[in-house]
Amino acid sequence: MRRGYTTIIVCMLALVVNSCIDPLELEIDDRTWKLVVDGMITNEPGPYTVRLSRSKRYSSYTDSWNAVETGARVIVSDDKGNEETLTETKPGTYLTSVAGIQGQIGNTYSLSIRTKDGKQYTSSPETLLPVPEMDDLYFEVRPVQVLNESDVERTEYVVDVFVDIQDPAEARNYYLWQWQSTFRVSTQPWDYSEKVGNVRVPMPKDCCEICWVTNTTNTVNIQDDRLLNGANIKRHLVTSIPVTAQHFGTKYYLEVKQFSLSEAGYDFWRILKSQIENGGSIQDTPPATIIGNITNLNNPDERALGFFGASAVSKSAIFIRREELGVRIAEYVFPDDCRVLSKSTTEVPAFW
Amino acid sequence: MKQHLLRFAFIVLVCLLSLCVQTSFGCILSGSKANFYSQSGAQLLQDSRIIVSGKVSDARTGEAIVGASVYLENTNTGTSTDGSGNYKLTLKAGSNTLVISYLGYQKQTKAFTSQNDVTLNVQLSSTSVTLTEVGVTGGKQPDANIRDVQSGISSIDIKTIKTTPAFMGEADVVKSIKLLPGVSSVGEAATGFNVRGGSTDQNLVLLDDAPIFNSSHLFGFFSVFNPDAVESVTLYRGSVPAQFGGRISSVLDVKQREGDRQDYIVTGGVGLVSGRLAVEGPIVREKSSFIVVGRASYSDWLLQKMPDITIRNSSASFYDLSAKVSHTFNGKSKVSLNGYRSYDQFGFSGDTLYNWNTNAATLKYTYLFSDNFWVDVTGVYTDYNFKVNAKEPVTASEYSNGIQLKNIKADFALAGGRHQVNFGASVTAYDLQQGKLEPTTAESEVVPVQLQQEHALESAVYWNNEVKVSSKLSFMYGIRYSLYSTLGAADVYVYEPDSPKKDRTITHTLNYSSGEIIETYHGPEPRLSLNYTINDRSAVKLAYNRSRQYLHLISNTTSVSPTDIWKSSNRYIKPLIGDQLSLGYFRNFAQNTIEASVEGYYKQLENILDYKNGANLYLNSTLEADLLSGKGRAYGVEASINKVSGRLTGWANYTYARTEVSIKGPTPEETINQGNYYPASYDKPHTLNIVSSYKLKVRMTLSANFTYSTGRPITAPVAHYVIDDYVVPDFGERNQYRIPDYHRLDLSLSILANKAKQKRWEGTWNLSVYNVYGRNNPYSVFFKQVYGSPPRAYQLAVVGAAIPSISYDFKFR
Repeated sequence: MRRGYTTIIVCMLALVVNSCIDPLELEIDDRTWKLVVDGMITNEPGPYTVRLSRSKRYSSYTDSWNAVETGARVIVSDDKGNEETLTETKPGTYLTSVAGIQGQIGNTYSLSIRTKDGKQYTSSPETLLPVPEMDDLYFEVRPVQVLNESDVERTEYVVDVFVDIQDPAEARNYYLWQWQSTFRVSTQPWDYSEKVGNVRVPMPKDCCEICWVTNTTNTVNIQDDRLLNGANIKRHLVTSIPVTAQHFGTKYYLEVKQFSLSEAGYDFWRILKSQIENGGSIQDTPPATIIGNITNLNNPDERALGFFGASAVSKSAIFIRREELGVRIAEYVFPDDCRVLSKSTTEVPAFW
Repeated sequence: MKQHLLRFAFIVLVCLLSLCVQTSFGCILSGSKANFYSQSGAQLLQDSRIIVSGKVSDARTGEAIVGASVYLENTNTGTSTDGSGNYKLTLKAGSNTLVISYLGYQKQTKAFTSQNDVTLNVQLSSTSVTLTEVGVTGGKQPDANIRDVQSGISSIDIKTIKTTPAFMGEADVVKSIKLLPGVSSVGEAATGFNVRGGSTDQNLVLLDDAPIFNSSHLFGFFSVFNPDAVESVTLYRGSVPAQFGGRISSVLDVKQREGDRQDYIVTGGVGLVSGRLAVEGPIVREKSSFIVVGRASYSDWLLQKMPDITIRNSSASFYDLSAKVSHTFNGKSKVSLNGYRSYDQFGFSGDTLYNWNTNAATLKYTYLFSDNFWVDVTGVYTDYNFKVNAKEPVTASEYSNGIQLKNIKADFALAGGRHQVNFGASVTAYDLQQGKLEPTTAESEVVPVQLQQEHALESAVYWNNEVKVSSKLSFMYGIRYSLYSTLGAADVYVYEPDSPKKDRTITHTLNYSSGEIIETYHGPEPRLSLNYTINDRSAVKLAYNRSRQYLHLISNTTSVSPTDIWKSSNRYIKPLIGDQLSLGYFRNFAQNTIEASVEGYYKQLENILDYKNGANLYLNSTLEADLLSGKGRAYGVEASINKVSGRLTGWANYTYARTEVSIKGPTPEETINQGNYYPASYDKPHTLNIVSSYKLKVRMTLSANFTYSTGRPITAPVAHYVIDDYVVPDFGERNQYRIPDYHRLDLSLSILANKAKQKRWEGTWNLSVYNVYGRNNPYSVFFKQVYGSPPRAYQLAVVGAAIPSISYDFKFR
């Protein structure tokens, strides 16, 4: 009897605690298809890319990217009277020429767009601000205690990559970091098998065992110098690389680009970051509209999205070798052609 | 089964409605009698008159009964007792029969014959058969709904609260409040409540004069008031007397009871979630008493039994404890001391533990200068703390914020003739902890952050007068003057004057030493209520209020979260000022057993806060730079009908209420939705509540509640776009979409186990079903993309099924 009573209570509580998440039909029918501008000019040699697209209804697929804006006339110009019309090399992607305009520190740049339907857009002028060199780019191995499914603590490792820079004292500075990494993988194509019915049937492949896989920036990494104006930015975390058999078969190459941002650019990326990183936690920042720098010349009430920025760039790169980590790493097991891994190539990169 | 319940609920609703219609017809017919009575009243004036006066008190505790009704049998001549239980009536000399009654007490009839003034003290004994007395004490006198000068006031009898169907069988003060006209909440587990389009922080919640800053247990599933400790609950949402101030929407005045002065009594209850126990009795018989009331949840123990490991690792528990002692000195003065503590702990899957607690104490001394002039001197202390403990090794930390208050006040009351004057003064000191983050282990990588504390002093003086000008017209007018200063020690940032406030536009910092005044705000708060009684059955009431609010709850969520911080008005955050004008028509039917009213209101709000795009409210030392202020307007109509006696009692009300905010700053960054009015996040236009209780048998009562309200507004992404390979949601204008509507039916059955009058044990069973038809009412809506399908909206329902429960209450003397 007592047991029965307990069971009843538990069942009742289960009903309460097992809250349910259900898809919700919300009548959102946005038909404004706002123009989206994504582009940047730097002090590195061109060509520079400007991508034009349209926003899509929230409930449409994000992966099949077809809302490109074709047939627009896109001109980049500076305050010194230089300008260049971009060429549409593939639908929605507009490029400057190789020997064309190049960003100069101190100049102010803007983009003007005339879309196929005759609408005129312009970006507010952005001044290309200088950026300091990276003093040091280095890494540290950090153990991470994680709880697995059955709540047992386990130690995993990550490699934290840091940058130190000397922040110029004279002005407020805003930074953006992007990186690109390459690592070598060694797979086992000869062990490849496929499931036929309920049986795994070996189907060895001849190629390929060795590939180089490229990863790119996966988070918006920005920083302002309000707390350290003129002091050194020390130990700014560029990225954390999980120590896995795939990443550290031999060594890991990481190239870091450091961009200067204007105040408006920083605000754009800061809010964008807060909106794409919201994970539904209660500490999240509330939903916000991201204010870009593109306006419709004829109709200021029309909201265009995106940003055309101007940045100076400094670059640095490091190799992180497997033996430097001081952590035991298992051999990578992947019984298939290494080319099936995304962003992989069998060609040895030049820097390797 | 579900169908049967639905059918039954439908019958209850139909009965209630048909009853209303029938009785209103009855009233139209009896309306002609009113003239007859008023004519004979005029004749009475020519006869010789005597004054009958006296005091009404509780036969058991000897405590004065405030608001008891004293009237001449079979007439409408009568009055109610004042704040110290006294009454005075002018009657025709000769034979008279007075009927003295008060809800929850046995009615007494006193017949006497006299040619001279008479003093008649009456002691009422409380009724032991509690369940039969279910009723809404909208007015304490039978016709108070019509006669009272104030409008927009509701009291709920604790017995009503206890028989109303409750979630998990936990009788709940705040849940009951939410069924009153003009009151709504944003969802199931939402903290607090919204009154006439005000946010949750615009309600002054008083527990024996101590302000309570978080009235929720378990994220709003339950409230912190233990029903066994509560004596009365009054919500002022229209006319707020001048003695109350500091919040612009409403005052919820919860009074806890005193211990019995004659006998030792143990009361208690066992429910699915918690157990309650109260012990009370005399210290010195007739002179002093004590009461200790406690409640604790055993939900933690239940969670341990759950099959799911995540739930088993969760913890959810709460308790509250209150103790009160009171002593009366020779009938002239009285002292009472009350202590209160409530504690909550909630953790999901063991890694993060939320915890909040309130400690409060009230010391009150009442002195009677004479029978109609007395003073209450009250000292109050409240301390509210919120903590989040992170347990993950790397992020092990404790976050905390809170508010402390110390208040001393003197309230004088003078009742005489046609006037009732209240005046007094109050001083309150606040300390607000804005947020502190500390690592809790040596391995923790959390960088400690501590935002500076805020200090403030709020003073007020008030004077309030209630005058009965004639039998047709009465007034209440009053004024409160409040003065508020934020004090050092503090560092205050100064921003560039012509650009939006940001951390990078700080030009310099002002340093204030301890106790130095940083900013002062002050202003008058006029209050006015007017009652024009058309006849014994109907009245028109008008009210105007201005209130100033100096404390702000900074929050962007609907539940308790670390980003909810109580913040003081300061150099940048100006006090909220609310002006409310309301007009109502009140009509009673069927010998005052049915009370109906329609009230409309319009409110204007100044300096209402909202947040900037991309605001960060968590541990932000330049929080003012992420907040925007604007103006608000709220308006609505409340229609309500109450049936206060008979086998079927209950009420039905419909509220139309809107709250809109406009924030228009000098730059686009400081403007929301182009400066146009947009719905506040708690704007819920339509609300319908039906609360009914039907006495099946002498000891068996069936209750049904139904509630419906429009879903609250949300900001939804209307589109998405791609920047640098990131898929970015494009949020539309703020609060332009709504979550689905909320509706719910609850049923309960109360069975009084035994009736025999002199039995020492009384027991009551309460069976209830919450959310009878298992509606998935959304608690929140979020947007996400599941791999392989387009992003979309999802809703989270906290209670997605019918929740049956059982509880047992007992009383032992």
